[in-house]
Amino acid sequence: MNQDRADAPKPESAEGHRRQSAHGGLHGGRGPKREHNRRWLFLLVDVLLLAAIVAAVIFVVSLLTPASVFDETEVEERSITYQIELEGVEIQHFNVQQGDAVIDSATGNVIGHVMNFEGRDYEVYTDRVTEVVTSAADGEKITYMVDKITYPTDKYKTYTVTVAVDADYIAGIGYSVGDCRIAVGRAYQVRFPGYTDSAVCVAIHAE
Amino acid sequence: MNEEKKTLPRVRIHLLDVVLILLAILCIVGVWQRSNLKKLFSAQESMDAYTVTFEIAQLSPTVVDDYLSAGVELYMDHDGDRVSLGTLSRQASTGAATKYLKNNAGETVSAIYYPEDLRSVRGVLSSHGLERDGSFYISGDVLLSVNETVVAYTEHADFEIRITGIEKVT
Repeated sequence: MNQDRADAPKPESAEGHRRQSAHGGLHGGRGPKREHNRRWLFLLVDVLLLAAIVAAVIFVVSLLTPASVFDETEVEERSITYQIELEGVEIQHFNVQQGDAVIDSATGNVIGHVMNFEGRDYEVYTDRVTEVVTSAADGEKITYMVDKITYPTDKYKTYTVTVAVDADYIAGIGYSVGDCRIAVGRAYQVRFPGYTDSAVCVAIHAE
Repeated sequence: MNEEKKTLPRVRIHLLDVVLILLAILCIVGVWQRSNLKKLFSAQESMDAYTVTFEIAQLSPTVVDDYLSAGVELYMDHDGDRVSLGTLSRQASTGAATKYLKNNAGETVSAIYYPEDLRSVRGVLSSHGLERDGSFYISGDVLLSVNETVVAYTEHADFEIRITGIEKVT
């Protein structure tokens, strides 16, 4: 490894001993075969030390990065569609078109393109109750239902937007697009070219 | 005498070489097997089987049917690591999601949400953990207590669950 060094070696180091041996300084009078073997031994020590240093560097780097170089997780790309729900949208401001890019504001990633969307009445629960009386063999039974109100249907709607994307899939972990995990129940602040709102993922379908 | 002086340093060199080689090999093997070493150091005590029960206050019934079936494993994040909360031993059960409100007579009554919209959910997880100083550590790492709310996730869904019971399997 360092056979061409000409300067004086440090006696304690493996290299030093090797140099001294090669010149016959310390253990003079050894045969060439023995010298050759010793040279290989020192070379082995050097290689192992270097390997240990490289291993230590890899270890530190793997600790500092979220994805480990030793991870055997297999990432595969899958085409998926998922649905996000935008509640209480003012119809006059809603400006989403088929094919629009969908951006997750938190990560800045394009997390798909709009396949289609459909609206339905925007309903919210109130703090009032409705009494539902039913007859039973042992008399009447009253059930209290939490009241729902429907916002004016010409002004407000809840939109379900279907988004298509090629996502990374890891078994046991699920789908992600860039740094953005796609999962049911997860809330997103989504941006379309002409509209932004908060949304919740309500379904995922793998194709 | 002269011969001894000559050989002594050689013996030292060999020992040093052997130590260096062993250290280097240990270092490489240590990096290669670091995840096992981590487990060895983090959970030296053996873990036992536990049953962890949880509830979700309000959830769409379709989500329960699609994503909380028997055999599904729930995880949580802790310090950047994924920690297993256990596996659903059976399909999560649902009940009426309720809210206390006043009726027309001014009495406080338990009112239910429309069941097609929202249901309350109860689940049972087969988990592993250990007890230390009377506290339960799920997967040997994370302290978990009854009434604790945890953001749990499966492969395809995220949930906010409230721990309602932790029992050692006998």
